[in-house]
Amino acid sequence: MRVVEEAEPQTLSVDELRLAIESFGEADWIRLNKIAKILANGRQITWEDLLQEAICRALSAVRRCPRDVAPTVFLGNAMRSIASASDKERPHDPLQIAESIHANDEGDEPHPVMEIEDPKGSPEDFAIAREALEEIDVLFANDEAAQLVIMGRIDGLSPEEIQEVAGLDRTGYATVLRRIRRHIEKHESTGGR
Amino acid sequence: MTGKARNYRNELDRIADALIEDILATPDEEIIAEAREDYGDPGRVADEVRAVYERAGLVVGKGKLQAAKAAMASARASCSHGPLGFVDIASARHFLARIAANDPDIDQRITLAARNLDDLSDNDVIGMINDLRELGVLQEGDDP
Repeated sequence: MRVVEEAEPQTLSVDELRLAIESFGEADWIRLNKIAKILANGRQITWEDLLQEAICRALSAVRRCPRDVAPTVFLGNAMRSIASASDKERPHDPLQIAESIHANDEGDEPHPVMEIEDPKGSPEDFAIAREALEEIDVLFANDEAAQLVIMGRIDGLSPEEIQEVAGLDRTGYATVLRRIRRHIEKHESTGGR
Repeated sequence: MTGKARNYRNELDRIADALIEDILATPDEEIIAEAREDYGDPGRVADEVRAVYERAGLVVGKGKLQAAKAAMASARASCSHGPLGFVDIASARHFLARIAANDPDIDQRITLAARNLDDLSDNDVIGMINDLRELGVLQEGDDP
């Protein structure tokens, strides 16, 4: 007799996910806190709202956690996509873009051609994101390795490419990245100013 | 010469991605030590996040309750006027008998059928009531 085995679903059921979350250890809860705070930084949303929305979507099966993805990673991805969607909801302001171009124009000559990316979000979003980036610039003004890693990531380079450019090995890159994260977290935990 | 408007949001997102990779790669004991260093009590941080999880559970629960209530209300609404709705069969048979006896204007098929009410199944009776509703013979408040 041929036995037909039912394939296991590729995503966790809501009950399975609930069970997995409720089995989180202290470190997992703290990781979620850290991820939510990083994603809320430079946005008009609190880390609590971001995390709550991600959990709501998971518990109402709007988003499903693949079996091969850790629930912390899944919730992190959910928060990332919610944060990104919230940016798109607010229209951008052309005047703000023009101001940004002007702010980045190092010379006095006007640019004959401008490649204008389409930034997401309202003028307030734009200003808050700029302020957050400026704070990061200030934090690492005297840390050349950190600046290289940050610039590399902003430019879309892979960790390997950044290691090559910055003359770092894997461990050195990981150490610098950890230093960047901890510096930003400590800055945020003391009020961010 | 080409200039490019900076997309601050996108730049921040790329930095965030790098920091999140590091958070996920950091061992548990270090993550806990970091929370102790930043906030004094790692347990308090974990409790705050757990509270957010519990709030989310309540929000989802309330949403499900409201959806269930709406579904029940919708089912009731469709049952009261839809096919094979909630009909008291005895009243319906009595009602049809009265119609057959007194109303010469209604559909002749119904009149003929209603004269032999005892031969009709409950489903036939309900079907006829629904036919009368559709024909407009039965109005709001007339229903058996």
